[in-house]
Amino acid sequence: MFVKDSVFDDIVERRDEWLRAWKQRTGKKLIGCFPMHVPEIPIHAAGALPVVLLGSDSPARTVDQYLPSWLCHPLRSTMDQLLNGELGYLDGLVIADTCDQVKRVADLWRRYLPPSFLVHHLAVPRKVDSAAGQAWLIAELRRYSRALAAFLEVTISDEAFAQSIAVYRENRALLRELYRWRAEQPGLFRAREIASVVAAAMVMPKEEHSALLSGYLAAKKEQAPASARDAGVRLIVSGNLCEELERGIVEAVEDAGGEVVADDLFTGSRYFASPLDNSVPPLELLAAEYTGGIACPTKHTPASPPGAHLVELASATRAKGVVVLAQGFCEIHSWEWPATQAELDRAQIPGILVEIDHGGTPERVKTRLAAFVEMLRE
Amino acid sequence: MEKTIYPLKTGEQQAALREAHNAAVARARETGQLIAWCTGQAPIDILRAADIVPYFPENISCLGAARGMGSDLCQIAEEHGFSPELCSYGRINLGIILSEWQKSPAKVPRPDLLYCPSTCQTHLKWFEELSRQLHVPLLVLDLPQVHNTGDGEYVAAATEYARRQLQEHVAFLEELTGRPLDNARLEEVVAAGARAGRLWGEIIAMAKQRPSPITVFDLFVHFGPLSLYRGLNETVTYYQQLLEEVQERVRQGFSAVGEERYRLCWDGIPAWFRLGFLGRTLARHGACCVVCEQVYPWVEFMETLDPRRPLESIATAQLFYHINLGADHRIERLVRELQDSAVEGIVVQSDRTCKTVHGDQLARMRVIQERLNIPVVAVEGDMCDQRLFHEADATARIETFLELLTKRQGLTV
Repeated sequence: MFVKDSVFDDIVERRDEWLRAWKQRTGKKLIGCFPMHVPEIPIHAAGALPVVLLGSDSPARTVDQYLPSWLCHPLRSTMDQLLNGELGYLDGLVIADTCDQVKRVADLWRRYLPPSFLVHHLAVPRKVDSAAGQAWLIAELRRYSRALAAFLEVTISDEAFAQSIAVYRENRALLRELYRWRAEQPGLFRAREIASVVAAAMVMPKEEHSALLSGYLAAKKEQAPASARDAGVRLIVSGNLCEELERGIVEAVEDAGGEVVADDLFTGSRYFASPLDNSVPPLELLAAEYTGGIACPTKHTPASPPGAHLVELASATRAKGVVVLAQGFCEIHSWEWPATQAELDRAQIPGILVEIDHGGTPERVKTRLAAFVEMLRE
Repeated sequence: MEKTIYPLKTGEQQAALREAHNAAVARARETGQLIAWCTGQAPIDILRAADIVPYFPENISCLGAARGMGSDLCQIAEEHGFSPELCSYGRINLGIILSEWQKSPAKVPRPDLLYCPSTCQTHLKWFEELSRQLHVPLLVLDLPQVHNTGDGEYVAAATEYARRQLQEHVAFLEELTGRPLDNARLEEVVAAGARAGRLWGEIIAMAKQRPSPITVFDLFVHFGPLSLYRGLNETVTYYQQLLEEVQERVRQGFSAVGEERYRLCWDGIPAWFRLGFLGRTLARHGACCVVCEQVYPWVEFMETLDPRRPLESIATAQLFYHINLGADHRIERLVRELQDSAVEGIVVQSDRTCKTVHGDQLARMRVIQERLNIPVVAVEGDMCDQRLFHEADATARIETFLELLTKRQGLTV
């Protein structure tokens, strides 16, 4: 249970209700995007609203009859919501084949959804640095755009693409501004509020989010420096892929005297990492969004070893340490923990791995975080 | 203990295949011939044509588990930060390396190269870690998932993506070895693979006989050469002999489990360290497993190989390997097998650390259970990590399940 600080918190917490009301008001269609790597711009250009599925904190009611307990929470939670009819206000789903758990379990979802519901699988390549992989990705993105256009009964023109790209560029510029400011003056922000800003961007129209975010930044400028608190030990929070950030963890980091100055979280900088270079055709732009961005363990990137991006980020933001949040049962991420730790050790950047399993933030985790921050102070 | 399983005599020939392989590995080390570590269904055809010896760390992990070393080796990997939720094949392999190669069920040669299709992403992550630790190149065959086998345009594009990569791999191997690929050898290897696949299909079809002359546990024992010695003429000879032996059993009306009382499907990778126990537990009650999704897909996988178009047929075989296919296709295929083999119940081994194969298993079985009205029992386990398998619990579940089947049989008499 977190304190609602902002309109962003409110939208994120009440998103199902908010989205139903939005749909009724506008008459537009909603397309759910299962984390990660689903390109939203084609959905926006087709006149629908892309909604990133952030899962649910409610205990599972039905999915235990279908899936074992040892699969990742975002997948189980979303399937539970689908089986219980909680996502009935969506008109379709797009799922990128980011990992084996998703590509196989989500393949069954069509059976539990009405025939009128779009279910599209995007077979993103593992290889991001090969010409053959690029050709495949472009072909997949074209197939995806065509499927969306056919389902929504529209033609997605180049103009529509260009307009949507402009909307997304503006939103990302604002999010980058927020992150730049947070890195410079972390004492003005709370990590959970930053996560709420990004999570809200994931579930609402970018145009409306940009307006809210502009207002938020302007209001912050007025409040600063009166609202600034003493900045603690500068830290990066990493990981926690495919799901909303559990606020208890970062509150524990801040309570221990740490200051989150940067992140590579899913409800964080991962979401807006790609600059969206609009000097290239739309499909190439979308392809670059996938192949570029922040290193992701779902992609095969031998040129960039695990943890290398954290070392660079620590240097760029003067962070003294890294807290890696490890999603329970996410094998793809966990294969890279030892190598990530080794990379941080080589760069002499202290790191701590915290396993999260949606059970709140246990005392032992708070104690470990406190000890970690204390060590960094010395 | 009462003897309730009857090993096929052809199994004795595996020793010769194994010795020949070990000799090839030893020769490679002496002569400088390259050794490639591969995953089970990697396209070793092009490796053989490049005169590179394929070696399978998964097999060594199974051997480690069978020799009771599995959990210890897993723990070594875990002490180095690898989660216990990770594939036990991978953890055992890393345990061998991280013990500085001191703890191992066999002498394992270091690789010069790694080769891995992306069908199983865990394989890919494991081999990425190997590449970092052992400082050797990793070739990846990136295979898009075929969610809809009926989408011809998608399949054609995915096949071309796979074929293009195979061409790149050939170019890489030619550069690495300093010589052109032996195309004649590639055709021979591909042809031998196809022949072995056809023979495997004829062998497993015998399980449709009533009573069945073989069980799925026999097939697990005899499956090894298909993967480990694929593409060799000696492997074709092995399966020819095995087919003749099974056909002779059919002529004699031989039943693999004595009085065949139940015909079952086994689903999931078995606990390799308890194969005999599982086979005996079922056979003791006259339960014969006659269908298994870990067994029949290798028929298509290898029959697809065509020496007239080697790279294209390898690409198709890889793309259509069963765990790369959508749930609809896999369910329909399994339903056909279950119906053709008169299966009345399914025993599922739910392997916690193989999330790729077992993550959606219960959901798929639920569909099949509803469709065919046949009961399913799940046993928790793992391929190689003994700590995750409990004999008493497995026995109790299986025996209770068989009692249920007995009651159902009574109701249909």
